[in-house]
Amino acid sequence: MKEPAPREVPMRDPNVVMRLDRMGSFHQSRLSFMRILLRRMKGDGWAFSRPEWEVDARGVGHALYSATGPERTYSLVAFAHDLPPDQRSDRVIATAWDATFALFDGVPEAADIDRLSRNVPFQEAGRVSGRELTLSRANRSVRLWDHVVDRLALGQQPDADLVESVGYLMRTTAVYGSAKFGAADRAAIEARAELNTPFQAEMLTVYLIRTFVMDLVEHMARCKSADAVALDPELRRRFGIGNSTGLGMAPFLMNHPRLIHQWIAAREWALAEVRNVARARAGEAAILRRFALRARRNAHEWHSDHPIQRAKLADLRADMDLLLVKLDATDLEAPHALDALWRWGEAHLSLEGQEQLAALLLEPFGHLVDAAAGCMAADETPRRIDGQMDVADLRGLIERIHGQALTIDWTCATQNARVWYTSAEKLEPRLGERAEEDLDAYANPLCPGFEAARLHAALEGETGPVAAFLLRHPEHRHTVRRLQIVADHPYAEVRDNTLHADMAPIDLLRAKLSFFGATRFDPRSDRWLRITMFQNAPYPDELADADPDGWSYPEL
Amino acid sequence: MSRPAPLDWSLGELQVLATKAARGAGRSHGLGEEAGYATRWLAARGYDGAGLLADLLEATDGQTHDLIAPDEGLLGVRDAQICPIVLGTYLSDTGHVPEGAFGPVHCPMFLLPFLEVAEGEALRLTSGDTGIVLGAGGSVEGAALPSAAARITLAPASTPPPPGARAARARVAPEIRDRLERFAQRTYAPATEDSRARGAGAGTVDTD
Repeated sequence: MKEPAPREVPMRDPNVVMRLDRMGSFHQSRLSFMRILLRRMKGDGWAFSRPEWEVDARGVGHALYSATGPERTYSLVAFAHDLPPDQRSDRVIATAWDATFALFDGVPEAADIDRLSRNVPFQEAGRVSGRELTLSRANRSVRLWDHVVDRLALGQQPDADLVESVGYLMRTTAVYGSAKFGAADRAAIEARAELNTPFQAEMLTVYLIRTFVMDLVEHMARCKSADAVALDPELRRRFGIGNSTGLGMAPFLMNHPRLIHQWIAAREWALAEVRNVARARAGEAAILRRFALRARRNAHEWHSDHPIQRAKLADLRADMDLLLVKLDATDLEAPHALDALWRWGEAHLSLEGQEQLAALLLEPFGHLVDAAAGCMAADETPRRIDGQMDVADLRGLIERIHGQALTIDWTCATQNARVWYTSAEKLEPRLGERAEEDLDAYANPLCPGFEAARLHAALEGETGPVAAFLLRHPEHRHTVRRLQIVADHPYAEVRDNTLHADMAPIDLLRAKLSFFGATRFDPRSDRWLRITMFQNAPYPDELADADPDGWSYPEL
Repeated sequence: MSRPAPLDWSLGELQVLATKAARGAGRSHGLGEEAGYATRWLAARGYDGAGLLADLLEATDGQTHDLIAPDEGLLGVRDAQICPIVLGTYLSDTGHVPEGAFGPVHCPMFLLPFLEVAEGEALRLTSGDTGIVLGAGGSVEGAALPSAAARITLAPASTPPPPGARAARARVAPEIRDRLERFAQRTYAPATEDSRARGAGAGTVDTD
């Protein structure tokens, strides 16, 4: 039979991808940072150990976990605390936690651990050094922690349904990396192969925290009873690490335009690569079908009480049913069947379902797409502004990138309802109501469309080079730089109104967390949510014999 | 009494504080980003970028942009003293290095990070009888120029400086940090009960 003529499917239009409702529907994929980390550690045969465990019967003390790759060792220094229940809060403004952590670059000496013990438990109020890569903390899930300790102490396994409904024993409430509170700058480590992909140190921290938490819960059960048993390995895998993420993550997407472009472009490139596959092989088709079934199971196991997510989950479950029917009726090995399937999805599935399909399509094609993991970092040195650009061209750029923002009436209270600002209270990022709070003096520039529209108006009647305009109007400098970045980084910018009265910051949080590899997004309001990380993943001592990618959807 | 030991900072946190401090001192967001970048640039070359920035922001505190910006094309003919961040970014934007003397410019060290971008050839930046040489790739040779506003001359350097080592950390005196923090504080909204309850959207229980 004659081979079909090659054709080129382009990457998706940024005006389609970079909308809040779609970003708020992103799913983890092969190009998520947790999966990239586990693939690398498995592929390079990393070794793991627990050189120190000094935790007493009250659960207070410290432990050390080491991960050794081909060239270097990284060590999690974990401190366990006895936290009074009335101090347990996931907010940034908390000052004490159940456990605190630092990821040390190498193997710490006793003096390092001593130094860290005087700083890490205080988190933002302490200091770490260039030898530390991350600083983080976690709180117990009270309802599950006590249950698991009690059951194990009685020689029984915890209730599987309860484990399933919570999904974790501790949740991190911040994982600070890259230069924060004195930690090493990314510039100091980015040349290392194992840390070049973004957030690898943070993901390694969480991966090792997960093991610490499981060791701690078994330790507490043993301290309670000599008859205590260990967790059943199957059940043990069901525990991920929870995470509470608030508004602070939302500005990150707007403050790192080149980085965000690299992430989105990597995934969009991968999707286009798969859509361009002329013919899927039988094995690839089988993997896609199997992962689709597992994704349907994930959609059913994923619970949220928040009305926004409940509606989206109803959509996703219906979409998964539709997709499985469609797959049953589709010969995936036919010419260009994958692209046809994608186009069917665009026409028939909700945004949740479409983005789930985008992630699923990558699953069989690691050999084609995994290399994109090497293209997800960015040089974030402030880019030089091309001041020779004519202001007419700058206006044209705004019209091309932010055409929608130019149609918005920014004097309308609904369109321009919000103010992004930083509170003096522990520097917590917050979102205010412009009409009700006097916050304009503290506003952060976190609405690219609004700022571009303002610049567009200011350029009316201007001529000549941008440099001269900026010398007179420094208030537009930030926006001009962004626009010149977006001109050749099309996925750098959220192309939506982040000041709208109906804007939900959780859409921004989910977009970022999906790239981490998070699952089970569970909004608790329009501006913070819970997730799980590494749920079902192999533990370090299982990784050598496990599939580093097979864990990211529940087994059938 | 001896001075307290300098703090060991990451370059990233210095850059963040410098950006906020410049914002707090009235620079626009875009110029604040440039100030943060330039402070880090100087610190990475072993200069006290944080101290120089504190000097600059204090010397220009309360002055409007018009007072500290150069006139387009007329870099020297002013009574007021020019902000090196405003001037430096303009030179970087245009890719133009002025000939002859200009200024006076506050803290002229802050011109260096922007001239690196603007000029491929080695440059000598002279102020009075002291000078400092900037080479391709951002290497610098010479002691830091004083913070006091001074007239500046730029000329090609006969000998480019050798490639210099880069510091991976910044040394920040506590007193300098406090001076910069004073400016940064102005960018934070005062904590109120209302803001605490609504701004980050707790609302539902976060301890289960």
